[in-house]
Amino acid sequence: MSRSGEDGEPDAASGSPNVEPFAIDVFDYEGIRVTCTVQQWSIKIDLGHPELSGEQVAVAEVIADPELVLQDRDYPDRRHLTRSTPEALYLVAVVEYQYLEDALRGRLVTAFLRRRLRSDDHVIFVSIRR
Amino acid sequence: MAIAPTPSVNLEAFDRITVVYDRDDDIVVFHLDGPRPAITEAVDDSWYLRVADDVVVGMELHGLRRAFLSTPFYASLFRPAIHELEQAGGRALIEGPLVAEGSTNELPMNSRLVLLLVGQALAKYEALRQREFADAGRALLGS
Repeated sequence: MSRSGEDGEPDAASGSPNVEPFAIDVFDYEGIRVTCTVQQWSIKIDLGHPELSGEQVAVAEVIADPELVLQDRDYPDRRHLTRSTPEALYLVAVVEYQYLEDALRGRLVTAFLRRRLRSDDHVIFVSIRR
Repeated sequence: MAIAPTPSVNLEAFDRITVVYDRDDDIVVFHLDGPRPAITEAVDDSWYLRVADDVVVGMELHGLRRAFLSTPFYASLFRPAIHELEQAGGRALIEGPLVAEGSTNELPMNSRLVLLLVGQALAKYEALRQREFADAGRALLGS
């Protein structure tokens, strides 16, 4: 499911070649394609969250198979896809969804490690596979 | 719920600031003394502290233009820092990703702004924890 690191494949929606390589290109837990270009990754993660530098596969796995999905507290079109880590932290991928060329698509907004969830976080999905 | 102390701020070691603004997602990240691995603590809607070893090493705001610059109070606070950021980054805020790094003397407006914001964020964090402890206490007592 995860296609992290692939590049240059045709855009499924438009049929035109996508020249920007992807750091993340994965289908989320509802089958919606979520992407992040290498350039976006370098700004969002390498500069913004260096603790996740080189962790494209881990972030893609969270998007594909989250344990919890939280509604963003401010943006209605953003969700926080979340999975616990062996270090007792939560790896969070924030994804923004929007209709692009007749298809719902997701875009990685940011990703980070959280120590705790808030008691008033609004859970909208819980994985039953664990 | 994990228990952790309210993080502190090492003001004596605060010499440099890095500001990263992602225009596409309207997110600004401030790093104190350079980007480094950290845990993110949500302290309020759109407010996040970056913490390493229980010390604040930065903060992140989601919706800079949408939530902060559209609020008169925050707009007036941010305006000098944004002007400084645009000068240092060589482009306007709305033109693309903006990155600026410098000493607190080279980026004085951003340095002052981030200290004010971190202080506000710590107050929010403490209030949030007290609220959660009070809720947990009430739940334990069944009231």
